[in-house]
Amino acid sequence: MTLFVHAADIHLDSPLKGLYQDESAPDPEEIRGAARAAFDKLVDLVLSEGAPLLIIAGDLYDGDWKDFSTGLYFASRMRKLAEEGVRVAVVRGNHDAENKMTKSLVMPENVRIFPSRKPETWILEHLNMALHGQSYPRRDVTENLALDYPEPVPGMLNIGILHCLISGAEGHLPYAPCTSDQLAAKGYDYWALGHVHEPAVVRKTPLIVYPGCIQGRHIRETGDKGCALVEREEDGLSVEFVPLDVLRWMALETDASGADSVDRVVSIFGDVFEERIANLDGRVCCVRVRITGCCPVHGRLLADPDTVVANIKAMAAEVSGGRAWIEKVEIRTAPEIDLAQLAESDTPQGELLRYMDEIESCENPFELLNADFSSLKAKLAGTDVSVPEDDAAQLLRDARDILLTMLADMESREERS
Amino acid sequence: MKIEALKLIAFGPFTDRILDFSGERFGLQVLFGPNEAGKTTALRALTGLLYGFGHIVGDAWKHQPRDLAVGGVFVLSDGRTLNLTRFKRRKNDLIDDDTGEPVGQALLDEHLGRMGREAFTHAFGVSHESLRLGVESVLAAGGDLGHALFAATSGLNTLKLAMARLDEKMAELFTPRSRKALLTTGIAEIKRLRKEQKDASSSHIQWLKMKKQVDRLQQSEKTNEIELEELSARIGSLSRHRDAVKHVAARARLEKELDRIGPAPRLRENFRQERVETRMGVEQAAQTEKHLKRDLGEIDKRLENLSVDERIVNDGKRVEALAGEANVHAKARADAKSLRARIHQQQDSAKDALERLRPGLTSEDAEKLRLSRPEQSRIQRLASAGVKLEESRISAEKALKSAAANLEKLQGRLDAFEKPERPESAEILEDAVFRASELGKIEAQLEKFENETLLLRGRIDADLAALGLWKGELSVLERLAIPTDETMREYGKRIENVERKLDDVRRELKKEEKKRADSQRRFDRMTRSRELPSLKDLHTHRTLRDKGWLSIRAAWLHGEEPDPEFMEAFASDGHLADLYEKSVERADRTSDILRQEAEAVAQADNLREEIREIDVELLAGKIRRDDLRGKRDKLWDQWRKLWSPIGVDPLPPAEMLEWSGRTKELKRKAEAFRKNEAEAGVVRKSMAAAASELMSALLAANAKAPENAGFSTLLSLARRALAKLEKADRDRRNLEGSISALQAEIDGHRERSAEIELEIGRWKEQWAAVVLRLGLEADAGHEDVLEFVLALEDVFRILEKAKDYQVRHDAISSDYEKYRAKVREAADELAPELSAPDPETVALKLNARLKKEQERLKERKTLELDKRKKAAELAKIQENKAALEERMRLLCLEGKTDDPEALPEVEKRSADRIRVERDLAKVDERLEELSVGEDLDAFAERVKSCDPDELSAGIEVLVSKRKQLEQERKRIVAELALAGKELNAIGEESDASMIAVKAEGQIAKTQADVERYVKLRLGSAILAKAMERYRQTHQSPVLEAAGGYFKTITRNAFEGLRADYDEKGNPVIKAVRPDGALLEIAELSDGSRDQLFLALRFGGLFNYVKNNGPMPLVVDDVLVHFDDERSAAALQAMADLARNTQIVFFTHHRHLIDVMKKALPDSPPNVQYL
Repeated sequence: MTLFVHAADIHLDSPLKGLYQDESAPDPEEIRGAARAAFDKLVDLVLSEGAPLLIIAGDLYDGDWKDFSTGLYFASRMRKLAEEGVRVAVVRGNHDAENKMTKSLVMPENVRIFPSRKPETWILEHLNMALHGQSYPRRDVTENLALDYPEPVPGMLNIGILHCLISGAEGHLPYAPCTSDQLAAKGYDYWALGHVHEPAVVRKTPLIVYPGCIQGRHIRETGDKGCALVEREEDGLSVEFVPLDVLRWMALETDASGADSVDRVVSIFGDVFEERIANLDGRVCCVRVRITGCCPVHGRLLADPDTVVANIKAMAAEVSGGRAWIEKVEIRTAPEIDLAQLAESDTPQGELLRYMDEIESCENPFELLNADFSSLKAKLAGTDVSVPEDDAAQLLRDARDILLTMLADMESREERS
Repeated sequence: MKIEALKLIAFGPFTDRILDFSGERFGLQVLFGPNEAGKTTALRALTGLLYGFGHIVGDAWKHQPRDLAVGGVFVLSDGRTLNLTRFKRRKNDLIDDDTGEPVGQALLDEHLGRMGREAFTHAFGVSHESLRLGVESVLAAGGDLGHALFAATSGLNTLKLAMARLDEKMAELFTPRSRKALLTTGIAEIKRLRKEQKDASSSHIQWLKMKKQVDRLQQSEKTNEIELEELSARIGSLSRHRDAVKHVAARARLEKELDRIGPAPRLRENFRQERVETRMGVEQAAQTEKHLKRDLGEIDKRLENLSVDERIVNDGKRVEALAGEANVHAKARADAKSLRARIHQQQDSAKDALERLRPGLTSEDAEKLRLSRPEQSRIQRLASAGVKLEESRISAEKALKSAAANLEKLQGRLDAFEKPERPESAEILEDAVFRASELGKIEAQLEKFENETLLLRGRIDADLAALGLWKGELSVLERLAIPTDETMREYGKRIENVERKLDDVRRELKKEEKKRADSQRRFDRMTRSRELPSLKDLHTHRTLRDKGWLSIRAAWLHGEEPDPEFMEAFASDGHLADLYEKSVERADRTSDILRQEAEAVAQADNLREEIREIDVELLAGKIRRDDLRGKRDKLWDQWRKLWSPIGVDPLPPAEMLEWSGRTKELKRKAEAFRKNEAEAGVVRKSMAAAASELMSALLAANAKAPENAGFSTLLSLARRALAKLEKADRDRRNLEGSISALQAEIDGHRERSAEIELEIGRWKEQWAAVVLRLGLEADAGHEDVLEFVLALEDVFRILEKAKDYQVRHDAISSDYEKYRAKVREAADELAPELSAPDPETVALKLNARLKKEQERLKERKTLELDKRKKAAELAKIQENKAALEERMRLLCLEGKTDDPEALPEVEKRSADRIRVERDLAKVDERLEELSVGEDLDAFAERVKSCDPDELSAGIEVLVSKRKQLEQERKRIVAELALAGKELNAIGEESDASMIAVKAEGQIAKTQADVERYVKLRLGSAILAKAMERYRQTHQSPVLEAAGGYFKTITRNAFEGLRADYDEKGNPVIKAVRPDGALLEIAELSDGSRDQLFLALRFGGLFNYVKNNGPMPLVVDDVLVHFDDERSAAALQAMADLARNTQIVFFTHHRHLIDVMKKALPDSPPNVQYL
């Protein structure tokens, strides 16, 4: 019997990142409102499974999202659930704590948004459940909220709802930090958590679960995304993860070792990609391609990335039937020639390479090269685009390889002509 | 490292070809190969040996790719030798020949300067193409020193192009001012999308406003709805009363009619129809019963007259089978007859055939001669071999005859050929033509030189006339010892220096004078109205006073003469005492003034001091001025003296420098003029020599030539004569070849004939053995034998056939007898009375009787069936009739009468009553509806009391009001729908999200573009810096070496190369003339630029070799565009470099080898021909 559906980190209407739309890109309608489509699937799942309760454990919206239609959309879906008698329990997380829109939006009566002042218990008599929860009063909650959660209600199924970071998870801000032992000590039957975007069952007894986000929004959110479906079994509760995402993010490594032409690299990519998209069930996918390996075509890839990207996009369109976005193509190949050996030679090229090494090891290589990007920086102000000065070593290596390839290319081109 | 040998084991057209470069320590190795000889292939083989064959397949047309192999013997710097062979393999492609083990590329790389294939081929490969590109690049870079050194040393000849391409790519991405650059448009797009996103986002306030509007409209809708409901209720009530009026009246009328009709049974609706049907059914059944009884009587009668013979009918199958066989047996009997005839016929034929084959031969004898299948085949094979052998013999004889005839014919033609008188004349002519052809288009060349000489002469005359300052012949001018540019620049600088200083001093003097005048003016103004003594004055006045007092004391006490100095100090004569008084007074006054006008006095003192100092300055300035003037004049004297030996009154040095430039240009032109003249002479001389050689060669070859024929005429005559000679020679050789071939052919034919005869002998022995077995003669012809064998086969075939026929005949007779017995048996059982001559007829008759009996039996069965059917039908009809009569009785009961005839009247009354009752029920039903639950009678009574007209008027008023309310409602609903839709639309799909996705995409794209721009920018900066660094570290040694090579290559037309600065102060490379003049690269002729770049390449290589040890340099036809003289000079430079390192020089120009031999008489290069 389905007891409830547990979701979190929905980030409604938050935009997908890094998808540049050009001629070879798929129909943008395919990704229009992907987050809403995934949310619709969540609502449909609740209804089709006959779940009487939906729990949303924080970050329903993004804090800086100002489009009121997002809130209205959410309210409309909640009404749909209300018509079927489904209750919805919501806590606010770090992202939606400060969203003014959510505060002024009137929700239907089946929705309970937990207060931020202190934790509260919502008793659902007809379900014999006690839900305990607390919203974030502000973005940066660094204290352990779980400690103040109420005692379990005897004879009922007790569920704790909390947006927090369990110590040990990486890559997330340490909000409302706590440990799984602390949560387990509360004596609840289930902890419905939010904040970590990867689904995870942190502990089996009692169940402490992160359902992950329902739809990935950028390349760091790859793999299945969805919610947790909680059922009552003879010997307790069971959790099943149900994918809801309509668009899948994917990081794809293409080993181009030994490739001597752009065509060959693209062909290798095509083979790898075809294998990877076989089990996507027709979902649109967004792919970051990372080309690696030592290959003769290395410099050409760097010198003319536009051609590489265009060809990769065309191949992706062909293999996926026009259902793949290429988010980015990272060229991380290495030259096949032995640069270390060339650097030892008493030639101008050797001199160039030795000079490169010197620059790399110096503290401020840009200054040494009189490479002043201030006018570009001025133009870029306020666009979220920046001059990537942090990774100077990689930039210099790429610049060196572009240079060496361009010199060699011009030589051979002129000799042919 | 040095390459000792290059082994072209299997590569391109080469197989096991070894190019030996051993010998002296280093040196110039020349590989000569005319076009298509494989020069380029050998070059590729060398690179392949050093760095692997890679993916190339072009050189695997003669040898399989897996067989490609190039070997090399390398002598390393430490004296060790490496024997290596390179194969075309994916792994282990380099093998050490001494150990047979694979070795890594690293081993070679270590000795090849660790620079990889590309860097090596650039640095140690020079071709005329790379030279051209290098010159273009250095020129494009404005002779930039760092660029030139970097390009020449690395062999990267397109540096400037690469740099330009980098700049171009950068500009495509971003320049601060460009609006079309990718980054600029990307940034604009991000900003636009951000704004669009903001516009597309719906605000909270807007939503609340719309929500209020919807709420208000919903309230109006509710009020309107209530009003409408009330109104409708009132209208409904009135309408009910009005509608009920007519129904109440109808009710009364119907009740009256019911009374009139009185009581009547309520008959069913289909009662009448049922009654009529029942009655008709009874009548119809009686009629049918009668007809059936009659039919049954008739059937019984017919059955009595029908009898059947059941015995024959029961045995029907046997009878039918016998009849069926009758035809078969009749036909078999006819066949048996025919078979008998054929047996006789075959036996006769066999007998005849045997008689014809060999008289007296019986069939039993013949059986002994029967041949097995292998024996027959053997005879056939032998016969066919015999025929072939015979044909071969004839053909061999024919061929022999034909060849002998041809030989005779060709011998005759050869005898008719004349022997050449002087066989070597053709060679002489060939040599002459080759040498003349090598000269190329020499006449055109000569004309060009002559034209250029004329042109140059004209220019020189014009320039000389326009030179100015000097007049004289060109030859004199050329010898003029014009001061060097450095000297002139030096004088220029010095004179300029002095003039500048002089100007400075003049300016200074003027300034001081002005200052003095100012100070004087101020002093005068101050002292004009009053006396302003100085402290010095006070001191003077007091000293005088003191002197006066001493004079008075001396005069008074000692009677001495007063101090004359004191006395003279006063203008007017006077008494000593007066004078003393005066002096005292003056000293006091001065003292007073000094005290009273202390400030003014101090100012005056200052002014006075100032004026004095200025005067000192002025004096010193004047001395400096005069001194500088002297220097200037001396410099000018020296300047003039410098020019006096050549009789030129010089202008200032800058102008003289320009004048000197013009004279140099004149000298250069003169040099070019003389060079042209000399070259024309050389050409003329070579042309004459060639013409004379051609003429004598023609004479030697007995060809006629006009005495005054020109070079080209002679050349074409010689070519024609040579062609003719060559043709005659070729024809004769062809003929001789044909004759020897024919003789060989004849010998071949003879041998063949002998072999055939031997084979015929062997065949005859085998044949005799076979033929005797058949009782024929040993020499029987193969056709006779084959025919005998065939005839024998025929006889055996006929006898076999006769045997077959006999068997078939016997079988037919036996079958017929069996049949006859069966027929008789059947006839005896079923119809003993039947008789006939043959069993077939009996069988057929029996069958005819069977058919007849079968017909009768069938008819009897039909009649019996019919009788059963009719009897059943009759029973059914009778039962039906009884049922109908019962039904009629029941109908009468229902109609409450005993007489069925009275039923129609009962039916009518019943129908009337039912109709009236139904109408009444309808009226009551309607009234019940209108009364809405009220008691019907009470409602009817109230309706009766209402006035219908009043009701209608009331309703009309209410309906009109309702219409108004409904219109109002429509408006509210429409507004509400619109407002609701707008409100809901906010919650529908939002464009803001999509625009945000686009903005994020554009950000990612622009970020990538920024990264690319940064990388390109860094690449460009790195290259520029690296070149500058390279210049700083390598400038001196490379330039020095290159300068030496440049001097050699230009045959001392230049002294060397020097680093200098251009107008903008950038370091550039300049060529140094013997007179010290410096020329920038742009000022050099095309040829000199080529020479300069080649010198730079050599300089770079020299420097490398000096620092890193020797390394083989591969030079590929670099002198294509050099004339012989320049080629010779370049070769000398190359030979010079080759003292330190090995140079492998590839060329396909034969004349270069001659040039080389002349240019390097002491160390002739090692030439190998491909």
